[in-house]
Amino acid sequence: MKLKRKQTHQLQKSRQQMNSSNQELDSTVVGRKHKAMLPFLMQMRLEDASDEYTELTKKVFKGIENLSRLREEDIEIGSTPREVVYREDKLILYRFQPIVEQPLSIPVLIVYALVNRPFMVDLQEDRSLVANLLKLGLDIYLIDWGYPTRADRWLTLDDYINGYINNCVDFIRTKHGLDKINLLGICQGGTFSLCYSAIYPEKVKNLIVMVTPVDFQISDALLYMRGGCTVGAEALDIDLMVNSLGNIPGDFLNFEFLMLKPRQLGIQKYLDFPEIMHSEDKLLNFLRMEKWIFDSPDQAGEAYRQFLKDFYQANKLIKGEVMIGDKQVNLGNVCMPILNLYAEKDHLVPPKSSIALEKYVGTNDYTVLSFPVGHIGMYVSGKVQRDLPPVIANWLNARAD
Amino acid sequence: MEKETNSWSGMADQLMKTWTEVGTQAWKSWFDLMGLAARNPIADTKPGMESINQRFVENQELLLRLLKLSFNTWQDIFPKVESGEDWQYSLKNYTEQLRSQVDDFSKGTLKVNQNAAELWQLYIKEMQKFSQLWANALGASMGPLSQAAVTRTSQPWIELNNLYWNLLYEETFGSLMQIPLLGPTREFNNKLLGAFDGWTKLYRASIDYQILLADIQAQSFEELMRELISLAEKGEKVKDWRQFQELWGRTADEVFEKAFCSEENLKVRGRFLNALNNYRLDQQELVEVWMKTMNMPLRSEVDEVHKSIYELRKEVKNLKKTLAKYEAQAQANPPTPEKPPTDEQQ
Repeated sequence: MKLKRKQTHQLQKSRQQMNSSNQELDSTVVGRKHKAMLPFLMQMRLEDASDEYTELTKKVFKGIENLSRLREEDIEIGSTPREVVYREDKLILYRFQPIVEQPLSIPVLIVYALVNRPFMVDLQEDRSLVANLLKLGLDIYLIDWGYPTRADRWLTLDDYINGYINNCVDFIRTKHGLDKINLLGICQGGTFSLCYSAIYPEKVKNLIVMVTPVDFQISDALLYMRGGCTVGAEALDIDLMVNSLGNIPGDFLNFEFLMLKPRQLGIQKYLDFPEIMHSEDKLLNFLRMEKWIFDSPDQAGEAYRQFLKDFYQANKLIKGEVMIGDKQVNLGNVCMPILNLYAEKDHLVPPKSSIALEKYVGTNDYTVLSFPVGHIGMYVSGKVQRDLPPVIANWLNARAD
Repeated sequence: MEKETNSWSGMADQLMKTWTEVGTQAWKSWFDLMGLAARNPIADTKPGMESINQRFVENQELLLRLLKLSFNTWQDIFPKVESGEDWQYSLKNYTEQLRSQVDDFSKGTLKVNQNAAELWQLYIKEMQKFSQLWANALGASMGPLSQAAVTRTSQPWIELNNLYWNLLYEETFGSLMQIPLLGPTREFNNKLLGAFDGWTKLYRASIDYQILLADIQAQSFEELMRELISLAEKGEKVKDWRQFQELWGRTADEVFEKAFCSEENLKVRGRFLNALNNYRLDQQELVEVWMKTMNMPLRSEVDEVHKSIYELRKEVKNLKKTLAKYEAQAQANPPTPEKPPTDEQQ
């Protein structure tokens, strides 16, 4: 009760201050005979402005109250029950607990990118691609790459693709007594899955790629520009960077991603923060996204070197020139059914880059589908959460024989 | 007119300060990254509520200041649009003021660059901070041992740098820069001067990058004003702060995107990144000299050990796979047991 009284007093005080500052501004501007001409602020009446600020102050108070109650564990990401079924070095393979009695007999292995934690596919109970797929009768495995340390700086793409992914696939094949399983590759994980499917087509039943870069040299794409593709080492000397840093810090990559849209990603969203912080649900959503975005593992130096040089700078994937260890990647070998999902407003992986896949793969069963969202919207948008899981489940069910 | 020009100049000055601050924050992020390499990467990449709040507060404050400034500018320009005056001239004049601030900034820093003595002084100061960072990290990781190793005094690197400050700068700086190096500290001196050269290049490259960022900010601001005028001319109103912010965010990011598709700008940014990475390599070499004298494991040695472990681990995995393959084969085709020799054979 005391608090309430105090808040009311503070609100009244801030309202008075606001009125007084508005009057001050008003008199200055009116004095200059600009009132009728000045833009937005003058199009709002003083009462309206005052009310708006009072409302905002109320929201901020409520937000602070919400914030003070929250703890780190309240914004834990990854809520669907799962168990560890395989470990290798820092990699952990999870199996999510199936929730239907007889899930689809061919399980799906989700291969996520190295640049963020994989739990974006299981952000929270009501926004979880994994939970929705489980409800639709799928049996889901997920690779968690872990956090590479300096001891992992020598890991190459050979280790990730011919090593870790292959071992996980073999583990699942053995466990289920299958020759082939389904792969779902997301973003950079989609590129890895394509390489894997080209090298081991006999182990992949169906391949789904989601917001996956294929043609890396899309001229108006920002990441392509920043990767120094047009200028080379003068724009970004990958060798120097890896030699100097060992592993590439996750925070550096975050900074680079923010710099693609510095004002909208670095500033704008924090200004919107007071508008949502009064609602505990919205606040939790925001904080979970923040946690996911800034919880970025470092990149193993050698793997980063090859990915940037071969894929971004030399665009070797579509030329059939990528070597993963001693194995050449020929996308023509990807003969299994493919479902290619991309985001129409993706500024990280431009649609053109994903759509290009059709030209290079050897399959006759190719489906492409887009959603009117951005890169992150593919995981968190309510509409996509509703529409995407049935698309995946139906497509896989139709190809289960 | 005179009054308005002064007003623009004042605002341009404030804007420049704010933009420089943005540049400084970018710098700080980089140096934080450098520091992270010496600490526990897992703990440091997990931000808690504190860092989220901090980020929020910093950005909020910065943007509110920019909003205020941009609103003031708009107040100056808009009446000219309404009264049919030459607003384009006003806007041009205003952005020229901004650019002249950028020029002043550039000239000022280049002047510092030309003064080698002053630059050396700056370098030593930076080195002291850098040394402290390393000593702290070592102290934290090695505990009492490191305390013994540093003879229980303040950070040994600071002393070492002070020593070299006296030797190299105050007494013999000029000549040492010119002649081949001599004496038992020849290698260290060589590395120290090499790092100085690297730092000078980084200093210059960072100034270029900051100037580039400031120029892009000026362009984005000009574009925002054009957008506001264009909307006003169409009779479309910007209704509230939120709409204003959204407009600004979109406009500024579009300018930023275009600017960084330019090859020349990418090279400026590349020179900064490359200089930063080169300087880091120089730093590592210097640190290794000191660690060697303290009989501590070197970064390069640890990397070598890691590489050996990595290769061994890979080999063991391959051997295990091969072994498992042969074991599976053996299980599938068990060898026919040898018949015991018959009496006749015996």
